[in-house]
Amino acid sequence: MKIVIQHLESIEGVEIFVIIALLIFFGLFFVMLIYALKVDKPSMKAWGNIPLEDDNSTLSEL
Amino acid sequence: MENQNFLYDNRIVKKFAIATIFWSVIGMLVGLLLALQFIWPGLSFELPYTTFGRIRPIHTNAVIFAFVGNGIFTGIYYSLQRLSKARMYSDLLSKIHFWGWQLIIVAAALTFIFGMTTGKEYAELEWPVDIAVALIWVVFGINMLGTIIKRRTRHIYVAVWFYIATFVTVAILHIVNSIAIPVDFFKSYPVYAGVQDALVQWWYGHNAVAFFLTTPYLGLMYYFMPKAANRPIYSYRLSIIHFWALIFLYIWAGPHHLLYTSLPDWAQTLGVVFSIMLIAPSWGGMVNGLLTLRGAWDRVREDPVLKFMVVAVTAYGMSTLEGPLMSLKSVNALTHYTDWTIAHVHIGALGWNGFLTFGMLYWLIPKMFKIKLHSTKLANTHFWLGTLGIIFYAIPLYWGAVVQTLMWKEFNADGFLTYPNFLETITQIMPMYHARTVGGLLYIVGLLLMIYNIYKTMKAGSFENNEAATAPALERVTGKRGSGEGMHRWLERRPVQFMILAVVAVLIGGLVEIIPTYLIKSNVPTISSVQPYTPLELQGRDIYVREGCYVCHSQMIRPFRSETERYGDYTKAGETVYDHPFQFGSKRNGPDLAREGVKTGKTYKPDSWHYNHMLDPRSVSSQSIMPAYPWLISDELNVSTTPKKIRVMQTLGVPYPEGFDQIANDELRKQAEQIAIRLQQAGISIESDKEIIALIAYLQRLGTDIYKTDQ
Repeated sequence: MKIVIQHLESIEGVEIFVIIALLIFFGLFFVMLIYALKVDKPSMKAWGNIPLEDDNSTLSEL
Repeated sequence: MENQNFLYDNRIVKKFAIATIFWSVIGMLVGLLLALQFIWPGLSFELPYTTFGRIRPIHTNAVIFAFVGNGIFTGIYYSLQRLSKARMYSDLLSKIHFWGWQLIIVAAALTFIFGMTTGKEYAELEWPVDIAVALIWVVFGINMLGTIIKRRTRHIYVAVWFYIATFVTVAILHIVNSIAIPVDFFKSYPVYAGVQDALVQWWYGHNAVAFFLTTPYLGLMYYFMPKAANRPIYSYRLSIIHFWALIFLYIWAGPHHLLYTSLPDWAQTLGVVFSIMLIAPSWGGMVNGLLTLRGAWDRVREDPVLKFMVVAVTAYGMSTLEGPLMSLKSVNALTHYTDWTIAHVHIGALGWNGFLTFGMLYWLIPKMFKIKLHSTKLANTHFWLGTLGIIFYAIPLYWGAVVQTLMWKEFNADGFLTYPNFLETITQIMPMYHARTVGGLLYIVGLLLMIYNIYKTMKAGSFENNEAATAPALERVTGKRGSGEGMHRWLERRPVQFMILAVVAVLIGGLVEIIPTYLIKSNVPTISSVQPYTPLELQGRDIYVREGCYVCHSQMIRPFRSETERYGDYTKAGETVYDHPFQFGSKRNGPDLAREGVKTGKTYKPDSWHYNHMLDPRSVSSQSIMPAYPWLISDELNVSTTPKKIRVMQTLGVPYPEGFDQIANDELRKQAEQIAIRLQQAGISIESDKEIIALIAYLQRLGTDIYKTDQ
């Protein structure tokens, strides 16, 4: 831990790392959110049906 | 685009299912023993192997990693193959994963019984077993990713994203929180100390809840609930959004385990805020699960599988509201260290994890054995017993928690504590502990009914190790984006890149919380009078960790008048800088010990009191529920480890003088003699080389540094 901290302490203006990290963090999330809101309904419906595609849902016939 | 014939591996699923059931019994029976030990402390049989402090980690690790763990693998190995339309990547890796995981569980139980523990909750495993966990986890990851890569489906279904996030995040959490320097084969010291160790530990601990108990089970919910209900999930769009929101937000919530402690305020606030935000994605999952059954609720009445799943998802929603509310500082001031935390945990564990596992097994076993469940009636009975069990478990503990916390905080008209004796706050809630035990017992009886039912089903059915399937191979698509293909379409074809993005999301939360507590000195203000533990005290501290004392005793006085009046001055961050590991504790079944050694303090006891108390707690406090520790009086302290321990501490930055390891044992013996003389003067015949001397030295050191004036 000391090695990591000593290395980080020696960087001038190391706080920019945190700012960049947070920008990536929130940026990625918002891009994902906008994408997810824009996908068309038929695609969503198709993906939602994937688990039911292999025809072995609840045994009602036995 | 011709169809390919292949085989699903059902044998590995069956093995994991049996393991799940096997460990459920063990894990819950140990839990029952713990509950009974509250009522009859003699149930530790005066043996070191069966004290509450040593067997509590067996219970927690067994139910989390053995029961839920094998449940996760059962569900993943079944669903992943079918969602990928591909057999598991490697049968050999499947076998290594299975047997490796079971061996780790056995190693965990054995090492805990013998007191080989790191003293960090849900991370008690010492370093050799930790390495085994990492290796087997990697085996699991390769097997899983390999399967995803060779899949015959274009889109990676949301359940699989949850599995990927689980794999990636648990790997990071486990490795980071387990970094330690070994002293010998079964003892190590974490590289972190005090407040920073606490932060890393609860970043890990809360995310063990998030990424071991929640995300994989959400994945299982997204597969098994549609299968059981024969309907698609309510909103796939919601599942995408709540998945990413969950994995972004969850990581930050760890500090809510450290509210009103010496953790810096800014970190506490981050924990609170992100915990509250977490209600949204968590309830997204709950809404998706419950609304899947809209218009089909009549089927829930008939089908025990759906009953279990509905209650599971409801319990999930309940816990994920309760947890964030408990993360509010004003609420936490009341609930921390009480049984409310225990009740909260068990709603999630028994309700969400337990019930979803049962629902999955009741659906899966008949499916795989190609026969109806032996008895629907028995399954319904299990459902009702389990539900009642959860209620009888949680409600008494809520009640007891409120009684206890109010007693802790009550002042009389003269301004003194109304209940200055901690023990009275335990004896008053004994009836609640009795009731809680009944709840646990009901739950276990239900479990036993399930085991019988599943066994009869398996016996009557016919099992195929491999299940035939057919699907067209995926067309090879070029690396570049196809025309009109969106970014997400591009991404979802690349599970590895997906994984890396998940890692980034998850890592940033951890780094932003952990690194500043190291870099910014004002977070842990130096207190010049705080010195490292003496060699004898260090050995005593290691006994404290070995016996799991932190399981019942906290060492963190909060800045409330009710605590400073009862225990002494509140704990400062600078006081615990040499504590590898930290021992703040999470629960008070006994009083806080942070200032136990302060002679003018509220909780001070002379050496002879500690001797008699460890030998037989009920000889000094007749109603005490603490187990007896007679072996500390008869066992010799192992001082051969002292030089190595000092050297490891020096490596970790604890400022022992150069060459101190050579004279450490001389110092140890001198201090031990002093304590033995004091005990002999009090009429106790004891040799200075016994373990109790070291433990007394440690206890008498606690909290004293800030009062030292001559340096």
